[in-house]
Amino acid sequence: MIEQPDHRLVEAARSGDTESFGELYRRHYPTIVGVAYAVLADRHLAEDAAQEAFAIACRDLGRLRRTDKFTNWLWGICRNVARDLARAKRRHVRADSLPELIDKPSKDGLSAAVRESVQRLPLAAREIVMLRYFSNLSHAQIAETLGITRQAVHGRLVRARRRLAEDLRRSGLHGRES
Amino acid sequence: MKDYLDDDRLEKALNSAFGPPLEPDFDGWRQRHPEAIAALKAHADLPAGVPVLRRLPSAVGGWLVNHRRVSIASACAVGTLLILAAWIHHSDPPGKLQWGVTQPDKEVAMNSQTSRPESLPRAEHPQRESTATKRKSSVGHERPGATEAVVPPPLDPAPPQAALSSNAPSKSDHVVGAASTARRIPLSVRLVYLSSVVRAKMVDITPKHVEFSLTKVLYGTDPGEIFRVPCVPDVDGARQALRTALRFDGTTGPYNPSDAEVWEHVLTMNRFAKGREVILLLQDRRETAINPEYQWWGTWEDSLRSPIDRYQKKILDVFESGLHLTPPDNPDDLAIYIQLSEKIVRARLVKIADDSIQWELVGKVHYPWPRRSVGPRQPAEAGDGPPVESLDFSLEPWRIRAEAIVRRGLTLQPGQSPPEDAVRRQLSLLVGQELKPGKEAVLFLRHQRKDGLHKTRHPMLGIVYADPVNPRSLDQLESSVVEIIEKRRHEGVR
Repeated sequence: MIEQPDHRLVEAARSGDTESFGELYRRHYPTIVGVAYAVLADRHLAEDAAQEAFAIACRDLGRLRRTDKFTNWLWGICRNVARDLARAKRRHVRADSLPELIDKPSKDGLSAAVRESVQRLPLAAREIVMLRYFSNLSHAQIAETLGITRQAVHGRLVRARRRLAEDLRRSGLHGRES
Repeated sequence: MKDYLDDDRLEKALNSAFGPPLEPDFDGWRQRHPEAIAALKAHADLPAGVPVLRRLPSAVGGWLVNHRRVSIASACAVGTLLILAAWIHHSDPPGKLQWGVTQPDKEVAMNSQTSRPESLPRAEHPQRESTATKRKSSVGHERPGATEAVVPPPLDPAPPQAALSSNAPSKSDHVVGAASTARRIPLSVRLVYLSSVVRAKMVDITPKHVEFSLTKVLYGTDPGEIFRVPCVPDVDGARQALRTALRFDGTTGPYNPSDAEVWEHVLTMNRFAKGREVILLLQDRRETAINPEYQWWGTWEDSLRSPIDRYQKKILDVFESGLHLTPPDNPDDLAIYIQLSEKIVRARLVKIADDSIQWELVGKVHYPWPRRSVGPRQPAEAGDGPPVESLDFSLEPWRIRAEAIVRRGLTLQPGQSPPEDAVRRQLSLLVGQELKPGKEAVLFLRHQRKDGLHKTRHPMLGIVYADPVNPRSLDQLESSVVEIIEKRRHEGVR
């Protein structure tokens, strides 16, 4: 089955076809949650933010002028929603209850350490790491989504991984396993 | 020795660091955001020329600038601004007709606005917390002593979506699906969500709350002899109405009424008056309210639409005829029942125990909403549900009726409950009359909330018994149910 391009689906959705919007939702949900996760560092909150972003997009789809820029537009909405949620989280949660908001560490201490290290990356690097490893997008998909070349994606990921490795080594995890 | 500079190991760690992959659930999302879907469809209904017209001014301006007609573009922009300013200055504020003409016949919505002057305090709204905050917060506050009540937005035509689905966000609380928002939910269904119905007099009114003196409990939990009802009156609406009214009197120019004048007008608009007796429909929120002040949820707006005694009789009639036993008698009501149900089943009564009724399912289960599932999606076509062998329901609806009937025949003081033995006698009478083993019915089973708000309620929304005169009546009802579900699915309204 041939996959419809985004702009066709956006146009169909604008004419009231909810199934087309559903297809957009299914197609972009993991990416959008990844974008929100990069800001919020909480899977549940990220899913809340992504769903809210889709609700806003659904309501305001008629205002989107360039249907070929749907992804960037949706990202923008999601980032704003996630930032609002992050601000609300800071306002409403006392410092001593903050650990509850962070995803429970898995039994594997390594995963937890990696997650924490990812959160210490700059936002742009964090986003690309989340798209690759949380949303499971390929280099080509990330390139298409971000509007950059595959080589650029590769380069950014390599740099992000290098920073992560250095951060993990500074955290004292260097050389734990043999 | 390996460290994190080893790319393979880091790659593996990153791949497993964020848990299982996400599974988009569009149907669930659509169910939680019916207003967004409605907006999408509403946009599709706009005439094709409207978006073009909206963009016309900026397009013309852009063309002029691009063609080095900057002076013409500037003149046009200044002219447009002047016309706009003159129009704003001379036009009446929007909404004047709504307040000035239709208000007496309108349902009085006390608390629908979103901003107010600083001098008039704003009451918090218990449903405004985000889903995330709700998830993290503890519940179960109970205040000793005087009971406090809250009057949030009135139970509007659609009952709260939150009461229907387990994790609906607050934004969709007043919308049930996209199709039926304009239709009024039958009183019998609305009463299902209430904890108590009381008659009370207003004794004190402030911008923050209304204090009531209880006259009579018609049904349910006693809120106490004196109780307060925090409210959010529509101050901006009142201010706007005052400005408009002054314009009608011949006054020109901007006028800012004082807060005292505005408040006076709020009282008039909402028919607040000391000594006024109203019927309050209350919902116990003690188990879900995060703020302990908000123990109650309710409205009195309905009682303003008809004389209080007539309205009381109407409510008691509904209780007596059975909250959940009102058969849908027309397709529109049936559609509402279907929309509010989680599943619709045909069942045969097997036996009645001390406090529950056991039903045996006959035929198929009909699901009006797509079911959430983990893993491969289950089919959600009408009539294809897996058979369930039996269902147990509490006798709560019959108990409610019995209590209402007993209360009606007695004069009880505030705080006094009807005698338990009289309620039990009445209950056994009703059960003996209506619940005979072997009897067949169609049951409308509603969503059950997981937060405990309705944990004492049975999950039954309605029952339609087989008509002894027309044995095929249940078959006809069932085929209508299937038809409506198919139609909803075809229209994409789930």
